[in-house]
Formats: sequence, structure tokens, C-alpha cells
Amino acid sequence: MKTTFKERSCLSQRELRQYLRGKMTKQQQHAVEHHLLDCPLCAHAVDGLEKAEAAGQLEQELSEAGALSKRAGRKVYRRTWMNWAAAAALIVLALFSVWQYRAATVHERLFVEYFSAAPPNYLALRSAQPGNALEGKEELQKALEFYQDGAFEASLPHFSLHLEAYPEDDQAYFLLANALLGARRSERAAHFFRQLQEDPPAGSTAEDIRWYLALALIEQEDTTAALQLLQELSASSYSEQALELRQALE
Amino acid sequence: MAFYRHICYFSCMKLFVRSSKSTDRPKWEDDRLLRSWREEDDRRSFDVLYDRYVHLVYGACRKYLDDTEACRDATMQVFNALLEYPTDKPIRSLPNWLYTTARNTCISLLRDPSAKVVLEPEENYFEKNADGFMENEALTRLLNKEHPHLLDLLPEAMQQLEDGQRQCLKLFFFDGKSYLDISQETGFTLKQVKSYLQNGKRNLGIILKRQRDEG
Repeated sequence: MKTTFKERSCLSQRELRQYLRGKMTKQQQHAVEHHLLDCPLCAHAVDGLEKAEAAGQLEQELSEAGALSKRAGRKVYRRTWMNWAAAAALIVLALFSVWQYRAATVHERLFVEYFSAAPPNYLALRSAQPGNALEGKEELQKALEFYQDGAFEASLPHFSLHLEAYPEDDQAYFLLANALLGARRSERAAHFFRQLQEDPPAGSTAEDIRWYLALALIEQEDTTAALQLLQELSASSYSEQALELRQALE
Repeated sequence: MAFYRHICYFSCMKLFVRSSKSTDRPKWEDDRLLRSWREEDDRRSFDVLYDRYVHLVYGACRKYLDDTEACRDATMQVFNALLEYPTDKPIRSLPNWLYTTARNTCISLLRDPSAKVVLEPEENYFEKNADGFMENEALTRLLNKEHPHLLDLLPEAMQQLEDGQRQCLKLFFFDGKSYLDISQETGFTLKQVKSYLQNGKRNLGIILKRQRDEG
């Protein structure tokens, strides 16, 4: 009695064929019919394919349905294919990113290795003429404190405030450009260096400005322009560093 | 060196697991294949499920549609629907899901005038049949897993069924007769036998549940 309501799995193609052709034992047939009472999929499949069997088309229709598997497979493969394509695209992207990172790293490494912020000439002036150069210029004093501590970002607003009050202070412009470079704002730094190139401020030379401009260009990864400037520095006090940088960049 | 040894060992284990996995798949239950397909994107698991059910889905569509080309299209649509089915939505019983999807696909094909499909004339009422199956499945589950003691109440519950249903159920469940045997023995048509068994089993489930609830 307990086996009366025994569950079984759905009909395989072979079982379906055998059942429709009456080629099962009584026990097998009963088990299948019992399953058909519970399973709408198998019951409807039996009903549907009974017609095909009656019309002598069962084999043909089953084989055509089986052939569908290839079509469905193609769809599945397409999805897998798309996965592979996505994976390949990711790999290419990753390689490109690594290449970019390495290129960026080279520029970044060279910049960090060769950049050293220009010393403030005010200090030299202050030691020669104590009290005069910085007297009453609180913003400049604060800017220089930060600047000398390497806190370039913090020095920027103070340089700006100082320059609003003393717009003719070219040295402050030069240090501001250095601070911008130190804070990795190389584009703005380059802009200031280019302006100062025409008329270098007291205490610095055209070579100094060219050197820092070259570093700003390296930081921006503008290798061609940087190389040109470094070439121009080959007969200057920066010749040795410029040569090293050129070799490293080339 | 030890690192490479570990990698080799790991790769070999992985290959072993992978090869044993591929040969075992046809033995896996639907749930496991579904999980493997849906969670791990394992194409072979989907292929096994496809091979297991494609003839049944086609057959179910064939019941509703007379045109074999339309049946093949509907079958493809059902498996495509399975491919696209959101992975976060559970499929409790794959045969039931496939049946319901096949039925809905056939209905939408029938409603689409451009599809030019023909409905099997005697199956206009297929919507009505579906629930009976679900309830029968519930009865089987009820008796097998949830309340096996209810089997003892079967003879009494059967007395409450109408004659045709009781007669067919008795011959089928107690005497182990086939649909055809019952048809020959009772004079009912094959269709009537199926209907009596279907409805009788459903009614039996209702009676047994009532008896269970009444304690």
C-alpha cells in the first residue's frame, strides 16, 4: 500500500517511446501512469505525442525535437562565447591599464626622484638684511613655513593671499609655481613657469625655470616637450641631471 | 619549488574534480543541475537538463499545437526562457516550471494571429486541467512525506468519492491495473478513465486533508 504513492522521475525519451508503443511490463506501465497523474509535463507530453505515434511520425518528431538541442546549444555557446569575449576584453583592458600604469609610474618615479622644490631666496635675503624681506608679510611667512615643511598644498592659499597684496613679487610667483608642482598641480605650475620664463625673478635663472618646467611636463607625461627642454639644458648647470632624465625618458 | 608542487597538485585535483563532475552530471537531480547552471554558469549542466526534458516540452506543446514547426518554436522559446530566467528567482519544480512555461508560450502563440498556429480542437480547456495535477502532486507529497499515517484513512475516504472515481481509483491504486485495463474492465473510455483518476485523486486529497485537520 505504501508503494502506491511512490514518486518517480519524469519519463526519459526511451520510456516515453516504450510507453506509447505498449512495450512496457505491467508494473512499469503502472508506475508510469501513476507518475502521469502527478506530473502535468509528462501527462501532456504523452497526450501530445500519442497523436504523433498514431500518425506514424513519432520517431521523426522526436528526432527533430532532439535536433533542436543543437540549436539551443548554439544559444548557450553564444552566451559562453560572449563570456569568453568579455573575459578577453577584460584581459586586454587589464594589460592596457598595466601598460598605462607602468608608463605613468615611470614619469611619476622620475618626477619624484628629480624634483626638489627651489629654496626660497627670501631666507637668503633675510639673513643678509634681517627683518626686511618678510617684515609685515604674514601670509608670505605662513606660506614659506608650509613650503619649507614640504606642505605645498597648505602653502598655496597663503601664497595667493600674499600675491594679491604684492602682485609684483616675482619670487613669490616662482615659489608658488614650485608649490603647485610639489602639490602635483603640474598644469598650473607649468603655466606660471612659462610666464616667468620671459623674465626670471630675482634669485633664479632662466635655466632654473626651464628645469622646473621640464619636471612639470614630465609629471604631465608630456615626454616630447620635456625632452626638448632637457636638450636645451645640456649646456647648463643642470646638464648632468638633464642628461640622466633624457636617457631615462628615451 | 614547494609552491609549484602545490600548484601542480591543485591543478590535478581540479582536473580530477572537473572530469568526475562531467561524467556524473546525468545522475544529478534537477536541483543540483539548476544550481550548477544558474550559480556557476555551468553549460554542461544546462545541456543535461535540456536532454532530460526537451522531448517532454515538445510533447506538451504538441498537445496544444497542431503545427510541428510551431511546436519546435515553442519548445525553443521555453528553453530560452529558462536561460533568461533571473537567477535570484527560485524554481521549485523544474517539470512544473517547464510545463507552465510551455503552456503560456502556446497560449501566446495562439493569441498571435501572425503565428498562424492551430489549436488542437479537443484541448480547448487545458487551463482547467493544470490545477488538478498540482493538487495530485500535493497529495503524493502529503502521503509520502508529511502525513504517511493518512494512508490508513484511505479506504474510508474512498467511500466518499463518486462511483466512477472510486471504481477507477480502486482498480488503479489497489489492483495495479493500467488505464487500458480499467477502460476494458469498466467500459469507460480511456479519456474518462484518466479524468476519473485525475479528479478522484484530487478529491481524495481534499477529503484526507479535511480528516487530518479535523484531527
